[in-house]
Amino acid sequence: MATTEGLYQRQATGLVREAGTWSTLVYNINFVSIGLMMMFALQLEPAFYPGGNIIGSYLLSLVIVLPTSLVFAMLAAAMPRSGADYVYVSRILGPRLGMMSSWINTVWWFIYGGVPSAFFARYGLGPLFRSLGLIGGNQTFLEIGNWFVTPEGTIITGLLLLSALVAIFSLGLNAYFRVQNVLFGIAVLGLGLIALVMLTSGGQTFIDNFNRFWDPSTGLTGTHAAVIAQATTDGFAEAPTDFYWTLIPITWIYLELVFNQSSAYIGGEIKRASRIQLWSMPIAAMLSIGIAIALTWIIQNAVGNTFLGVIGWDPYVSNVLGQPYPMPFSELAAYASGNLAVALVVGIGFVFWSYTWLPGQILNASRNLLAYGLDGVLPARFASVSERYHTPVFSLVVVGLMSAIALYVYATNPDFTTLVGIVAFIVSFMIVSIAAVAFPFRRRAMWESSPIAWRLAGLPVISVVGVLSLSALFVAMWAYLNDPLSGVNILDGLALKPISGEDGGLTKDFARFLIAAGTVVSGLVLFEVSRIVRARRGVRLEANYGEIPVE
Amino acid sequence: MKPRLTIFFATDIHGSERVFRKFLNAASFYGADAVIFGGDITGKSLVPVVEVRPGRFEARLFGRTHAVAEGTELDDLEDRIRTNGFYPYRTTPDEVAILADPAHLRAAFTRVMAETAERWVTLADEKLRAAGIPALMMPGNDDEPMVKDLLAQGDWIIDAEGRRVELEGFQVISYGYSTTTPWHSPREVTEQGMAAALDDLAAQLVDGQPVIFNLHDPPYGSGLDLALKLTDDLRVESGGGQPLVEPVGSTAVRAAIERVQPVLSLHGHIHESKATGRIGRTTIVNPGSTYGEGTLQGVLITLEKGTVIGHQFVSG
Repeated sequence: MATTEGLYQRQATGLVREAGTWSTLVYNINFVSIGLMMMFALQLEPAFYPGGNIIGSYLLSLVIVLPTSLVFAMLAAAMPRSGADYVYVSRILGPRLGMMSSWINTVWWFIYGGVPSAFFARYGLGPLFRSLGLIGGNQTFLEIGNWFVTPEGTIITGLLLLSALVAIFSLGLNAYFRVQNVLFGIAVLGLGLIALVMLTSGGQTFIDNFNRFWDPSTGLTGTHAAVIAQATTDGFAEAPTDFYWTLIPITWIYLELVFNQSSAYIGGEIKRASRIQLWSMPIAAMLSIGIAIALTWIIQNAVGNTFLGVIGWDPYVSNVLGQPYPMPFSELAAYASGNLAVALVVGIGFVFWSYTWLPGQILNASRNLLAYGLDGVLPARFASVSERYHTPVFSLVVVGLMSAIALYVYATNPDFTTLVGIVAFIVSFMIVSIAAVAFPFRRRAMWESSPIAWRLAGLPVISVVGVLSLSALFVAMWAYLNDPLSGVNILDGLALKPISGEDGGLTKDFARFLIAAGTVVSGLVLFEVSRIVRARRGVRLEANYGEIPVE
Repeated sequence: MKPRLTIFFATDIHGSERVFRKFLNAASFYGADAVIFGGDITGKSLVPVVEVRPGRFEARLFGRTHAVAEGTELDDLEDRIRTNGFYPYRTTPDEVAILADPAHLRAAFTRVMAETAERWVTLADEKLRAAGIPALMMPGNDDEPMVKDLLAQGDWIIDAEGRRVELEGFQVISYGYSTTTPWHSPREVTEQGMAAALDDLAAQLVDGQPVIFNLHDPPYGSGLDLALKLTDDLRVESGGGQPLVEPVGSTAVRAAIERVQPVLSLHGHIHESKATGRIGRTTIVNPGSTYGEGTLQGVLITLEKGTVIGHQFVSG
């Protein structure tokens, strides 16, 4: 018999001791991917958002993300089950909205499966080999690095990564997760090393080393100055700090930071969720931003904001360096150090950050497919678990195939922009926030029995947080629809931009917005089709979710 | 035999009053013809509700102290405790001081479990008799031996454990013990003990009549038995932020299914392993459990001409 404060337990199965505190935090930080978040902010904000203040953007992102983070944390504490929004929204607002919200995530996890698969070569392996080639004077490494960033290199490498992950997950997860801990350690070590290098080798040392390694490649004398000069000639300009241009590029930070709530998807497997979930999500967001702010400040001081701007600008406009994509800050640190071993460690560390979304996406999407299969929304095949490996092999393979298609499209079609799907995710988060507002009123007994039955000035705290989250999500949506680089830039302030272009057809941004909107309603369509098909076989799909009366 | 039989099966409600009441209403809610309960009816935790002064009570729940007055407030608090699968235990400050004593705590648990189980049996008899729903019940590995005696006192519900029971043309054998767990729960057997018990039960089966197994322990390596991997000191092992899992079912249960090939084999025990599958010709199913949220997880199984024609997981 065991005793905790105010609670006495007898000898019975399942009463495990608290665990997973640190692991849950790591899981959420993994999904945030501090490396990618910083990379986008450093590559794009100084280059294309004149007047933007990166550290200000980080802080604004945190303020906008935290209410949604708390919504997920509180719902995860109240309903400690795996499945996150599928469970919360189904129970509070009904199965149709639950399916709609969950399906948005599933579809975009398929699609975004292609994005980190491409990043693996584009921002991970490519820069690693390029920097090793330039620093070590090894032409073969340089050519390998350059091959990785071609569409062929990106697709082949991404397919290998996807296949490897699907195969490993199909064979069982335990070994992978242990390896993941080690990889996370290397990635964090890489960030630490970048900070150290930038603190000791900034300023003129950085400029000298950059020129030493890049001059032979560009054939110029003083590549550093040449990149700045050409960018200025081509229209690159800096501007005094401006709130609007600090707010708009939160889009690139929000893309990663909002996924601090990923442990909600494995909520059923986290013990003492009422405590661990409640703090691990917001802490993961705050910690990620804290690290990003510190490291960004160090890098800005070492490299200079102007050079960060032109290095992001160069591939898309000036192309002095002859590279198709901007180099990540890890590569800048490698040149700053001028040391092959440092280049290797920071490069390998960044390889981890480049694809760190992917394992979680594959797992979460396959778990969702499994849940739809168990609930009868999708054919039972999706719920099948391999007897030999105890994993949902069929669902994993489906996710892998869909991600492979997305990878091909992303690598070959520039119209597939990185940010387009996030507006659909935001709709999903809005539905979850509405569920949070409604929770104490629509599921009163469940809320009152939950560990988050708190009131503030007589109002349920979760409803207040839900309203704050909804407001923050509207701000985020507004930023995406106003961001000229988002690919869904259909607003000018609050006014709608012209829907059709000069050729009379839909603008690309509006077309992409409609595609994202289509994914939002596709879950509803899927549910209705499934309901009709199952009803013909005598199964009432709605019965899965109806609450049985207690009396 | 009914031409088409729909069974509602649920398991592992662990003392949640709300979930038990839902179980009693599930057959009429879903249109099922019979209900089967797969074991583990009693709770694991007890929350002292201390009368700090006459008519005023205090209890600690989820880290917060709730101070309430006798009457509606106290009833609401106790309901909240029950919904989470805990037993509210009205007591005094003097008794709380000695609850740390294992013998005294065991006695308190026994008292509250017996009172609750007895009340539930009466309630089940009333409700299910009125609805005309056959109900096969059994204790699980977490239930003290006295629970079986209490279930046997039901005059409508049937304590189905350890014998062959007829159900609309099917023959059902039930066994609620599990193989050894790290917690040494009240009703555990070794794999050999499990095999022997299942052999005895299988020997009671009549040839030519379709068979249903109702065995608390799931078959090993079936996907119905994936539990969190634990260290020796009962901590969850994790890596990369994800808890690790491993199969923990019974090899003897699996062997019995492979040998007898019932049309249906119903299981519980591993709450987080909601799943279905097949072992040979047998449909195997574990609906899992989320009793702590006040939700009844179950499965509706439709049988026709001696075979399973469909199943549907439900979450009420």
